[in-house]
Amino acid sequence: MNSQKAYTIHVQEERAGEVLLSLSGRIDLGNLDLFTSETDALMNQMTPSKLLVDLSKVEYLDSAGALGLLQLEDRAKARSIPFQFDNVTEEAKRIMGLINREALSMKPLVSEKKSNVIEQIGEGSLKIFNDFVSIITFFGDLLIALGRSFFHPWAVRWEDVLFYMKRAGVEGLPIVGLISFLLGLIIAFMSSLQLKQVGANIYVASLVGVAMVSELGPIMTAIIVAGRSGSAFAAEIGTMKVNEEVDALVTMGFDPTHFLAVPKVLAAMVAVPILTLYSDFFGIGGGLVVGVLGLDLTVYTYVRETMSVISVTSIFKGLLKSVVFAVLIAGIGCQRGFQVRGGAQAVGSATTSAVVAGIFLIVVMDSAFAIIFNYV
Amino acid sequence: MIVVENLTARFGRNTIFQNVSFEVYEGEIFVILGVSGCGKSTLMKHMIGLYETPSGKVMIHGVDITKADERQLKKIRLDIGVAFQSGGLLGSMTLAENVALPLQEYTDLSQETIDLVVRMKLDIVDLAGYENYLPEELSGGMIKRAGLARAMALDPAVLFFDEPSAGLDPITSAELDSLIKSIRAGIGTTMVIVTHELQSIFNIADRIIMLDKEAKGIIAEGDPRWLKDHTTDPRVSDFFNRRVPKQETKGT
Repeated sequence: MNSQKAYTIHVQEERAGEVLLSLSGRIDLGNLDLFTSETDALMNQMTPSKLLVDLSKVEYLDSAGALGLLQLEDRAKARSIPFQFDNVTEEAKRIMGLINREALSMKPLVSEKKSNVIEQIGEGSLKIFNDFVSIITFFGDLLIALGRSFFHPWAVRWEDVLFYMKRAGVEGLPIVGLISFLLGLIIAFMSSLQLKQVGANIYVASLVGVAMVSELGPIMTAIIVAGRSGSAFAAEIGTMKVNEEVDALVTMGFDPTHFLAVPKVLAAMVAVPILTLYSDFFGIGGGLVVGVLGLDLTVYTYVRETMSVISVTSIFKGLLKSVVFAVLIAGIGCQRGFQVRGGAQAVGSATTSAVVAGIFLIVVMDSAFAIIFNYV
Repeated sequence: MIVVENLTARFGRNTIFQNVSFEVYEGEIFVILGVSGCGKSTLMKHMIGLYETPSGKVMIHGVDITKADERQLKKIRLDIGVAFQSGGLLGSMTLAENVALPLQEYTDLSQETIDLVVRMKLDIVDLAGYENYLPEELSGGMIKRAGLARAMALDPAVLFFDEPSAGLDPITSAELDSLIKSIRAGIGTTMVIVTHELQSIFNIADRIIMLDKEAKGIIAEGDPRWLKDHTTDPRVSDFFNRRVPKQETKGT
């Protein structure tokens, strides 16, 4: 629909400076701008004492064309030029009758929301503070609900727990395995470049073992689960909010935290530690490949060295971390979902926020654990 | 203007309707009605090119949209406006931005002119002044009217409505009816409406077709006011007279 001129204006000067414009053809949305500028130019050029517009030959007029004609009348009036339509067809009259000229110049009821920098900083700070409060509140509710589930296990929706264990755990095995394996491979390879130089090849095994079990296994697994399942929980609960499903649960007397969040968090608390062990195993496996293929270690030597640095305590600490991480990432995923109000965009931003906040919480918690395990 | 010939709708193994044929004449208000589940929304979605059909034709202005290529289809889409049941407004944009969308995409008018046309369209549907509101800030009736304003943005030759009165109170529904009539009177747009709201049907429909789930096709066609009193088909009569169909009693 480009501005092809589908109309013609036949200009005729009458007596005493009156100008007659005979319009023919199509005046529609496509050529509205053209029509406006052409008639403007004519009025400027000719400065008529009166303007008559004959519509008898207009073949097609849509609402935009009618708007153009009415605007022409307004502009003539603004220049104090007397104006008249001639030979207005029934159709043209009907379309022009639909348009209310006062409404066109009406101010909008609500102006576009613009605030200055100070207001924005203030609003932003308040938002962060309120967000912090709602996260604490939610986790408080969650921990109470989890505690209750411990004392009343029959009240827990175990079918849902199993469902999410499959989703968060079983279906995550391939990606966690792959990433852990490659991670172990890369650490072993990079460290071997240095260790080879001092003939300390064997320590690659210890390095990979300790790194995976104490830190990288728990953290990488938690980050992957945050990306896979934290986002999924946020999207699921967020969409339920948009569809009024959460409202329905509340009006039926169910507690949404118990009904929706607890199964997901319990599932994560079981799945993430298992995935972490699995990740440790694959990471060490990756290191093994480098050790055997690149460093001329035997499988036996590598495994023996690995087992000598990993204690049961360190595995236990890693698993404890992973349980806490699980609560954090599943919890924040659910919390972001419950916060959704509106539509598609809100669900999208809740999903993003769940992953980002989850990763942030993992890293902060890991630092806390480092302090707890080493100084307490 | 619109000719539907032997149209069949199938989803998997489920046939919704088959060999449906009818015509919509220029400038009329044409209503597709029937009991819930009879396939009327499906029929409309076929008519606007959203679904593919295993057989049959839908001709709009002489072009068969079931066989048209991308370019032809795009041209036809400019001539059709669709007002969806829940509005279909983009939630992240204001009303003005929603209505301006087709204008910005398909015309090269200046932003000033577009703003003016947008205000005109919003005023026609009685939403003057609401340009900067977001859809989530509006009531259901207002969202439907905004959806209509957007459907009318390019002054299409035909407007489709999917259940326009769904969820509206009687007054708002009556207002929407008279809006539809005034647009048809003013601009002469052909209207195809899917609804089962009896008051609206008797108020604004020129002609109707009635679909039936079991018959998988059209069981009535014509003027609804005449059909209400003169039809011999019990299904049609029950529908127009808002009667529960007689059930066969068991056991006696």
